Amino acid sequence: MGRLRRRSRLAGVALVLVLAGAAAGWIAADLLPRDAMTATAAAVLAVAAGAAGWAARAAFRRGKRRGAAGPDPGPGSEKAGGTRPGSAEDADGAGQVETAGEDGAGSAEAADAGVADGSGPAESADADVAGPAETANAGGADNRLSGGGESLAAELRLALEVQRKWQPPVDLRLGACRVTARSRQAAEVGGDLFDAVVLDDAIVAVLVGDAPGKGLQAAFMVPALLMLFRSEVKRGGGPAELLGRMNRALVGLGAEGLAGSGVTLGVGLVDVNNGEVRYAGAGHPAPYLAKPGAAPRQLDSSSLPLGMNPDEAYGETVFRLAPGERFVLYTDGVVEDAGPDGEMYGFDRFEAEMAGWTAGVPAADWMDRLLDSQESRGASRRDDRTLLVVEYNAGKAGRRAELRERNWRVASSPGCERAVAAELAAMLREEWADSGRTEDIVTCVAEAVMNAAEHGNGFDERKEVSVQVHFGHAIMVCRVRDGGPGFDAEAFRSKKAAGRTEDDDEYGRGWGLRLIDELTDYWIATRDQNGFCMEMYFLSQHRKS
Amino acid sequence: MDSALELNIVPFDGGLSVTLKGDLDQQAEQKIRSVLDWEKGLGEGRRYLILNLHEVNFINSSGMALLIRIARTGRKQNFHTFICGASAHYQKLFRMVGLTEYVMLYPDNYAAMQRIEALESGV
Repeated sequence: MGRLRRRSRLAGVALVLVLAGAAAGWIAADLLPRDAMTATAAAVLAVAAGAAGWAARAAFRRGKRRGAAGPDPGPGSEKAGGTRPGSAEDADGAGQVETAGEDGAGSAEAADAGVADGSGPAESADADVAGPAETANAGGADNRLSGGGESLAAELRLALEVQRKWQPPVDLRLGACRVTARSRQAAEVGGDLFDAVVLDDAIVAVLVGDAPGKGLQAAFMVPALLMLFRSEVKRGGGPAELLGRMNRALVGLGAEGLAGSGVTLGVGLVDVNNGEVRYAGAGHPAPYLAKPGAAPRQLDSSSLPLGMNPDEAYGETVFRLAPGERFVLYTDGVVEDAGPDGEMYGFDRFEAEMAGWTAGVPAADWMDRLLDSQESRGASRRDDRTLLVVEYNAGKAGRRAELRERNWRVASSPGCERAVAAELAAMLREEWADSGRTEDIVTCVAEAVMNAAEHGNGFDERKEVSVQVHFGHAIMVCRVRDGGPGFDAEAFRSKKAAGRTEDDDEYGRGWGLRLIDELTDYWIATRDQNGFCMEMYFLSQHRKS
Repeated sequence: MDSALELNIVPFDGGLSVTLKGDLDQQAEQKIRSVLDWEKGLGEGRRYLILNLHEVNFINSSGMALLIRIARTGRKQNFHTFICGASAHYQKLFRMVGLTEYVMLYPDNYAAMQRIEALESGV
C-alpha cells in the first residue's frame, strides 16, 4: 500500500505539473510570436508525452506485477483509420461505465450539472468527477481498478478532472451554422477529443480526434493536443496545412513511440456565412454529409494518423453545405460499439440513423438518441464515443434570423458596461427566458466589460471593448475583448485558493473576476491577434435539469 | 443608461434608514459620501444603519465593495449595518463575496426594524 500511495502521489504531482505546464503553454501560445508559439506548444506536448510515457510504463509495471488478466489499453489500441473495421476487437468484457459528457453538450455540461441545485461550480465538479470512478469501482470489471483500490480510483478521478477542464462544451451558433457535440466515455478516461474554435467571427474550426491510450495517458495527451490545435489553428492556413504542422510537432518531439498507432484527427474549417467547408483528416474515420430525405454521403478521406510519418501530406476536401445539410464527424467508438454478442454497431446502422434523421430534429437530440440506443443494447464498452455535427441553416433553409447572436462595441469609459448589460438583459428575457441564467449572465458580462474598459483599455475612450454572444439551445457563449495585455488566470486561481485578505486596501479588488469564476459554468482567458479575450460559458438551467 | 444614485435618509430612534435608488457602482461612493460620511460614524450615538436596496436595479463588484467597506467601518465605529430589499440574485452575490459576514440581510425595512427592536430590548 505504501508503494501504491507513493505512486499515487507521484501521479498527482505529475498531473499537476502537466496541467500547469499546459495552462502556461496555452496562455503563452496566445501571447508569443508565431515561432515561439509553436515552440511553446511543442514544449508542452513534450512534457505531456514524457509524462504520458511514464504513466503508461507505471501502469504496465503495475499490471505486470498484479498479473492482471487482459491487456491494459495502451498505445497500441486499434483505430478505424478511415476504413470500415472488419472485426470486433473489443468484446473482451471490459468494464462499462458511462462518464463525462453523458448529458448535454460536452463534458462540461455534466460536470456542472450540480449548479442547478444551488451548489457552487467547484463543488459540483468534484461531485461529478467522483461519480464515474465510484461507479467503476462498483462495477469491478475494469482491470486497472479491480486490484488498485482507492489510489487508482483517485488517479482516475484526477485524470477525468484534467480532461473536463480542457474539453469545453460545444454548442454554439454562429452565422448560419450551429455546432453541437456529444461525447460519452467508456470505463476509463479515454482519448477522444473534440473542439470548436471561432476564427475571425466568420469561420468555425471544428475538431474530432482520438488519441491513443486510456486513463492517465489519455488525460495527459488530450489537453496537450487540444492546446496544440488551438495554437496552430490560429496561425492560419487550411486544415491540411494545420494537420501537417501538428504532425511535424508530434513526430519532431519523438512522440512517435508514444503515439503507437498515432493520433487520428478530423479538422474542418466552416465558413458560417456561405456553408463552405474545408476538411482534412489524419487517419480518422471519414465524416458524412447528411441531408433529410437523402442517403448520407461519406467523404473521401485517407491518410496516416499524426505522429507516424514526418513527411505525410494531408489532402483537403472542399465542399459547400446545402441549406439544411449536416456535416457529421465521429470517432471510431461510435461505429465499433459492440453489442452483447460482440456484433459491432457498424457503418450500415450508423448510415441508417443519418438517413432517418428528419428535418427539424436538433442535432443534440439526434446524437443523444443514437448514443442512448447503443447503450440500450446492454453491452459493455471500452472505447469512447464522440459525435460532432455542423448544421447549416439549422431547422429551416434561409432562416438565418432565427440564429441568435449579438455583438456590441463600446468606448472604454466608466459605466460603459451598463448599456451592454441592459440590452443583454432585455434580449435574454425575451429569447432565453427559460434558461434561469439571465441575471448570472448579465452580472458576468457587466463585470468582464468593466474589467476590459478599466484594466484592459485604461478607460481610454478611443479604445473599444467588444462583446460577442452566441446562443445555443443549451449553452450561451460570451466573449469580451479588449486591447490590453490581459491577466494571469492561474495567478487569480492561486490567490483565490489562498483565501481572502483581511487588508482593507485589498477588499473588493478582483471581485469582478471572482463573481465570473463563481457564476459561469466555464471560463477561459485567451489572447489572439484581436487582443485579450475573456470567454465565458453558461448552461441553461432548464437544460441542466 | 447609467442611472445616477439617489439617497433618501430617514432617521429613527437609534439609527438611520437609507433608501437607495439607481445604480450601485463605482460612481456611487462619492454620492453616498456627500450625504453620509460613514467613516465618522452615524452621529448622535446612533447604532443602526439600514440600507434599503429595493429600488436599486444594478449592483456591480464596485458597489458590493462599497457596501462591505461601510459595514466593516461600522464595526469600528460601533454601528450595525442591515441590508434589506436586495433581490435573490444580489443576495446570492453578497454571500459569494463574503458581505454576509458583516451585514444582516432582511427582506424589507419592516423586518430589519423588528430585528433592531429585538436587539434594543435585549432579545
